[in-house]
Amino acid sequence: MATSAIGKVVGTEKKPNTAFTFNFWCTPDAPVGIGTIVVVRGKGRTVWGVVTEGFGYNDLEAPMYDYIGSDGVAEAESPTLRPEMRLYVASVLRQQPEEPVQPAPIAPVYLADEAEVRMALRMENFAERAIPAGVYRNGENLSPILLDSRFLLGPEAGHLNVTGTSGLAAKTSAIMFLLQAIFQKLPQDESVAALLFNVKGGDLLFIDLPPEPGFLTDEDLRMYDALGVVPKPFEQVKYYAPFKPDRVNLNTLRSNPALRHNVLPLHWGLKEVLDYTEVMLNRDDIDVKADAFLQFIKQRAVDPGKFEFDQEEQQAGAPASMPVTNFAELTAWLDTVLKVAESRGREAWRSHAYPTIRKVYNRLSNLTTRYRGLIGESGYISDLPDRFEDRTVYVIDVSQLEQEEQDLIITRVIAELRKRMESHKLGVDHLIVVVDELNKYAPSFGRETYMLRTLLDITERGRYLGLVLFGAQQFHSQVERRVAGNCATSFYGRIEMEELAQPGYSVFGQAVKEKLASCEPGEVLIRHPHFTQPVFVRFPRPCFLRGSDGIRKYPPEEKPFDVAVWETLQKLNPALEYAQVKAVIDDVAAHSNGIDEDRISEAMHRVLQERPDPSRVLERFRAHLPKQVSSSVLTSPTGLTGPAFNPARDEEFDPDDPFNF
Amino acid sequence: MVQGATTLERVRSYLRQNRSRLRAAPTPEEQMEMLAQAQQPSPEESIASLQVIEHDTMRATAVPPADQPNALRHFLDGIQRQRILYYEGVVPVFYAYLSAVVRSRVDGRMCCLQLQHTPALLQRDGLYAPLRYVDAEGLRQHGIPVRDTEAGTPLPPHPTLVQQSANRISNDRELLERELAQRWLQHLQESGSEDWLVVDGGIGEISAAKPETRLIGLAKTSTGVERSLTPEQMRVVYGLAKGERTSVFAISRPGQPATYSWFVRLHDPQKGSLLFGLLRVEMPAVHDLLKHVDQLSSWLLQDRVPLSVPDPRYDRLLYPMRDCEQYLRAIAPSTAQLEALVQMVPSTPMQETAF
Repeated sequence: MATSAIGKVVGTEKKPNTAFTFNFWCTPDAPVGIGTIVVVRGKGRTVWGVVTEGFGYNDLEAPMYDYIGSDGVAEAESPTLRPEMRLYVASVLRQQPEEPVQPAPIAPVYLADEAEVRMALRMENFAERAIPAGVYRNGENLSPILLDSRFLLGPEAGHLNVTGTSGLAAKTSAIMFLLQAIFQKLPQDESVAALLFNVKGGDLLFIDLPPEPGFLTDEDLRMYDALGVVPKPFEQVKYYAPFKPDRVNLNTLRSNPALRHNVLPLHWGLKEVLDYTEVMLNRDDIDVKADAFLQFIKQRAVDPGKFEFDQEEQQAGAPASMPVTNFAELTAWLDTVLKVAESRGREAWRSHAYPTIRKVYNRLSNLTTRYRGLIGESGYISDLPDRFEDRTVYVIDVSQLEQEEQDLIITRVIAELRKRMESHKLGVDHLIVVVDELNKYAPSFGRETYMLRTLLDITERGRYLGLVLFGAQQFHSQVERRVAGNCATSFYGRIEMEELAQPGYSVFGQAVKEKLASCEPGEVLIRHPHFTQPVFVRFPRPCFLRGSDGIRKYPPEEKPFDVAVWETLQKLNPALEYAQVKAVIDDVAAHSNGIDEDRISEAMHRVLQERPDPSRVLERFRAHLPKQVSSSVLTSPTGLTGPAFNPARDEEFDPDDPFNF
Repeated sequence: MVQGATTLERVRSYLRQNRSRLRAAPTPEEQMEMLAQAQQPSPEESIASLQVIEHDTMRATAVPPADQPNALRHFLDGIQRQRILYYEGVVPVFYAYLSAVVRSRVDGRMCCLQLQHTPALLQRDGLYAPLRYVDAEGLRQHGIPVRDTEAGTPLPPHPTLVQQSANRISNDRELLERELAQRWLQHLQESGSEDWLVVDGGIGEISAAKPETRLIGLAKTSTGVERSLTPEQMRVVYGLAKGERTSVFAISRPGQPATYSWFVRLHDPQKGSLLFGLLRVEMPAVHDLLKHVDQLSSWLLQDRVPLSVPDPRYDRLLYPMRDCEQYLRAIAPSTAQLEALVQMVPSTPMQETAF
């Protein structure tokens, strides 16, 4: 307990104390402000509170009196200074005895020290499962503010929502520090992993590397010390990124040779993305008919992996059976379907209208071009691991991608995590998935999207099943209420006044809002189930190499095409030499019209898909490349030659419409 | 006796046990009327003589600017709060709370100095009544301080009883102020301080014991002195402009030592009545102190700010003096506390008691 009182509770008829708020006066120089935690010690009752409003007074009844008294001279000297005081309103955090609940007694008020802060926030109840979130600063003293892991990661409650203006070290920094604390402080008999999306620059691409010297200030280190968290980068991190358009280099800023060892490709095939046509295709594309045909494709062709044509269809030219396991095979299958339909006078095929089949064909066959580095024809899959590992961070870099690619990745990853959650196949007790821009993926207005339903499901049931959402957004008011409302813990960093004017912030007093509008970097207001009232907390900068420093220290380095192919194949056969791969590529180039990167990368992906014995890697690579065809120039016996077939010359030509409808 | 309790708590205990034989007190409004009717002219109003000593005749002088830092450092004032709590038969029993404080100006802030042997605050409370007509023994047994208003026999009429109690209370308050002032003057003298002690009203008997001390009194009303002014003197006094003072004059009152006095105009009279901003200052009648008159006047003019608004006497009430009043009111028993005690005695007596 602080040794001397800093004020005293006052209650008047006009401004009485209640069981939930009390008023106290202080001298102007008392170290009290909005967010200060205080304790009232009365006879037989102790009340802890957090300051939520403040007023300054002197004994002047009206400004006019001061004007008259000073003869209108602002700098007029006065031998006596009017007494000045501060009146603070505090919201009750806790009281003892807990029952009966009573207004605060008229008694002296003290600043809360570390032990008092612990009592005020009921932190003594969960010491063995406490996760440090930051410090409460009382003068020079730093008191740890702890969160209950069972209310942060489940099963009692779960999920975190962070609101803050972008670029002011509120959202990402707060989450990253909290993740470091969770990894260090969660009991070792509980496993935890985190999955992040790097959406901007190199922000999260160097989190396994120590920061530049001096990045962590003395104050940061003091906070780490007070919180018992070791300032060290994440020890186990795996990065994922799709390919660049060349389909051999990864589309990430973490491409420096020194850092490539833990960067893995993210590459999907037909089966992986067919469920997400809602994301990939625009709304006009997916009418009821198209959706029905897509479901048909999924259930009757893709899920079984092949399609059996009936006798009648076979008579129309279709084979008895066709494999449908990747986009190339799907395209061939749709070609056949269309041919069968055409042979019947373009009538409906299996109750699906011909134009619908054509439309779906056009849209699906285009996906490997639109999502070039992410979705491949070959069926080569490189995805997140089947089971996540304890104390490991998985970073998916989407920063270099177009918006539609980002949306597909984030939607599919989240949805897949939900599926794994349902089947208890996460591999860890708690998987934390961090989603920024929640107002985009779970908006409070507009139609209910697949992503919104997924996020709702995660926030409603995930805490029981080990999947925890750490969501962040700039505008809390624009996030679906149920998603944000299901998050038991909330952080609020600096928020613009326009946003604070929204009804969702009416629970905060005006002074708290004004403090939120001017929050410094590294300061957040925390709501947590154990805290009766939100408290302002400071947290240190997370300990890892900052994105801009990482890019400067490890500049991105794109590999030449042939080197990238060699290095990729080398993962299957470490003995493979560059010259061998180079020779194959050059050979193909010599017999083609230069290097056809599409074909070479496709061949590389097929090898990766096959995962042949190391000794056969080069052979299989060569096998998937175009065969050299012996050719000779034919001359018409009559000497007649015609123009070469060039469909593109036709003004009506549509590359997505081979049938020119 | 209720151990460790305040006077009010003891009175409450007493009333709880005796209320059945007591009669209810008048309402606050009725009491105010009774006190107004019983009020007598104060000694301030009777002046034996008034003699100008600074100049040949009384005249107005512009107060020169102060050349020394303001040494009006300590300010003394007192308050009294009184209430008829109940009647014992037809005898009114008053509760009175008296207090006096010295507030000191330190770095521009008013505060109570914590000195080892000189208190900043004196407080007293108790019941006031002609003890021969009330249950004095019962009150004493409850540990209630009682003050005898010494009514003789036969029992005086009710207005006289009220007046006697009111006078006794006022006298006690003056004694309390005097006691505090003298202890402070003693302290200032012993410590060799150059500070001045400022008291509210005339300095009267305060200066009798230590006439050489740095003491001034500030009289906001001066009916008695004004009555003693000649027409020429009146013209000078009422004609003072802002920042002017009159010549110093000596006044003597019956049974009190002579004092020096002068008027000073704090505020422009154009903004108010003839008396607007007109303050009368008293100091001990010691010739050597006359050299401080200009300095003291200039300090008083400095103390026009801050204004003592919203007090209606703000044109003559110095802010530090108002601070004393505010302080004392803040720590005095509240009206609600006193009315709660009054309410303990029902309006209709349950049992008549005759003396």
